[in-house]
Amino acid sequence: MAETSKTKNLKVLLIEDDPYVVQLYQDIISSETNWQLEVIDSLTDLEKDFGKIKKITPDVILLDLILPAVPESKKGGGYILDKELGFQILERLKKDEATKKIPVVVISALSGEIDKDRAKALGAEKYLVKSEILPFQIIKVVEEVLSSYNS
Amino acid sequence: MPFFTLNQILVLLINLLAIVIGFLVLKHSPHKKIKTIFLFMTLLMLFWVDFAYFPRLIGKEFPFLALFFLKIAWLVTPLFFTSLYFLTIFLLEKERKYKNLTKSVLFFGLLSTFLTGLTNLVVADIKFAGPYLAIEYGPAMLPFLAMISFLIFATLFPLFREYFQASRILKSKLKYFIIGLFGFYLANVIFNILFPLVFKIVHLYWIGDYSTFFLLGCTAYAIVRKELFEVKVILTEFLVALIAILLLVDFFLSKTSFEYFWKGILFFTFLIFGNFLIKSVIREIKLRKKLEEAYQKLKKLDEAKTEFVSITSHQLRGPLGLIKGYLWMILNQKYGPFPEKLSRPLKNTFEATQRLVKVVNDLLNLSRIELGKISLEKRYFQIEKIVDNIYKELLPVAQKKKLEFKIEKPKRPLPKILGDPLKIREAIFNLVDNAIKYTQEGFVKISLEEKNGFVLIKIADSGIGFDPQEIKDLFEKFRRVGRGKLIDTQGTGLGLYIAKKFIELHKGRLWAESPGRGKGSTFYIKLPFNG
Repeated sequence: MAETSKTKNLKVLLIEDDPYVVQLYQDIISSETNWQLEVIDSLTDLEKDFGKIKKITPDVILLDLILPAVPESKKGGGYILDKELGFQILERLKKDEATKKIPVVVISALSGEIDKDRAKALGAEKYLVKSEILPFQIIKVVEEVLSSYNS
Repeated sequence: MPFFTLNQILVLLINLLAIVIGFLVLKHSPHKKIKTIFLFMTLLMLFWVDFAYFPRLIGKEFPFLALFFLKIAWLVTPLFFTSLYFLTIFLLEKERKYKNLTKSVLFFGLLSTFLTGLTNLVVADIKFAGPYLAIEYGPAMLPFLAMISFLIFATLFPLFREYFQASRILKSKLKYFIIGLFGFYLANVIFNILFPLVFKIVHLYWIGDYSTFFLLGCTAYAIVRKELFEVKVILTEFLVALIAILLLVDFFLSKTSFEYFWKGILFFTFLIFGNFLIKSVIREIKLRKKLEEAYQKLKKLDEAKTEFVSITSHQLRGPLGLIKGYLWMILNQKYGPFPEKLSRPLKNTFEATQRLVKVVNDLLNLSRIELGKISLEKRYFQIEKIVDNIYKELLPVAQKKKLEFKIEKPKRPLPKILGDPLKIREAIFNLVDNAIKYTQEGFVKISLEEKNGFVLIKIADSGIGFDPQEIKDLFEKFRRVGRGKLIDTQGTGLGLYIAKKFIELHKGRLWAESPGRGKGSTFYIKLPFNG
């Protein structure tokens, strides 16, 4: 194979708040591929964050569901963890003309069928459960998703 | 004269029972205002009944006193109607809404009381016709009736207006009050107004008067009817009091000293046993209440536990996934080579982490089962593939223990199964994993066969087995049977419980057989193709 997607210069956007997880994915991607990893590690304002995502123009998005959100009541300090935020972003991504063609892989600690079904219904291409996967599978899944998108 | 005897007994009975009911309401009603109004009502009723009766008792000899007594009875009447209005408003808890109506009720109630009590405009005089008493009405009799009618209307208006919007509990209370109210109004209109005024029938006045007692009883029931439990106590108390009063009346009607003696003993014996009866009913009801409370508490605690397990397992999975990921990276030399002597400890750490992930997943499955949150992702799949896959995964473990590990499949492929492949895999995996874990030497055999509409999966081993009486415990959560307790120190004891639940979700059956301790065991899964 002359050029696999591993050697391509893909732009992968990771939306994930846990720095250890970010580091792990960074490590596996840099050791195995030529991909460029962009990270959004916290969300404050859905509009602004969405603008950021558009600017990055990633080839694929890895999305965590439980994300820290700054609640109305605590503006100026403190945050809560909320899975709704992940779903909201997914919904926006799949509705907006500019982003709806970018494949989204959800990587979450949530393993319930309800969450999986919901993410798929909203348009996520794949759903991975954090504790069930090994690092190389992330690369495999991204490759799969992209190849099915290109064909 | 038999009429007076009957009347005498009735008046006496009504007095005694009213006192009993008054005490019961005082004891059992939690609502202070309603309690006060009710006691006031009881008192007014007794005044009404008694002072209407006294003139007929002393009658001809003291005509002035008789008129005085009768006037007391009559002036109490509008007050009684007024108290009914207040009780209605308090029962409905609508004091504010009907403020203006309350003012006019108070005005007309007091006006009619004043007119009947302190003037001769309503009741002018009394006459005796034989044993019966007739009243000569004054010129204000019709306005008096109009005012009473207004009081009745003012009571019924808010009652019916609010009844249809009332809560179910309040409705059931109001129902009894309304029944009492209607009985009372009807008896009053017929026997105290229509009969004496229109038909000149005077000797039946007492039916109207004594219907107040009917109203009192219904109202008391409505007030204390909080829940069925308390009604039981109140009814017991009421019955005991009623019988005691009858015995007491019977005692006073005794003619000889011997009769006095044994009726007295009967009365006191009944009091003692009646007391026991009431106390035991109360004790029983308290006990039942406590049991109910304890049960509710336990249920809540169990739910809290399940919720806790669910949350903790979710939170455990995050860091566990990370540890697993980093270990995998190191083991696969993604961070460069590591010294050879680290290889074994790293591998062991990785395996231990895998095991921990399995434990956490088991706990999570348990909490999902218990929260009823589990759902099946059904699709058609080939069961042989799943079993092959499990075989491949566990083969290294079986080989390490030098066990004979085999699969027997039918020659023709089995029909596809409709179900959740991940959950069925988990169930079969748990059984095979257990079989290998609890077998030190010999074999573990998996076999598949088709049996009219079902697939039968058999997992047989030559392991530790179990005694027949241990079967029940086998599928309990957090249980490990017999020697399993010693060997499987890492298991949560959840594997079989979860496997069974998952199979049952597919309308299948999971069971186990063993000839006894140390003689091996066979686990069966019977799964419908269309589960």
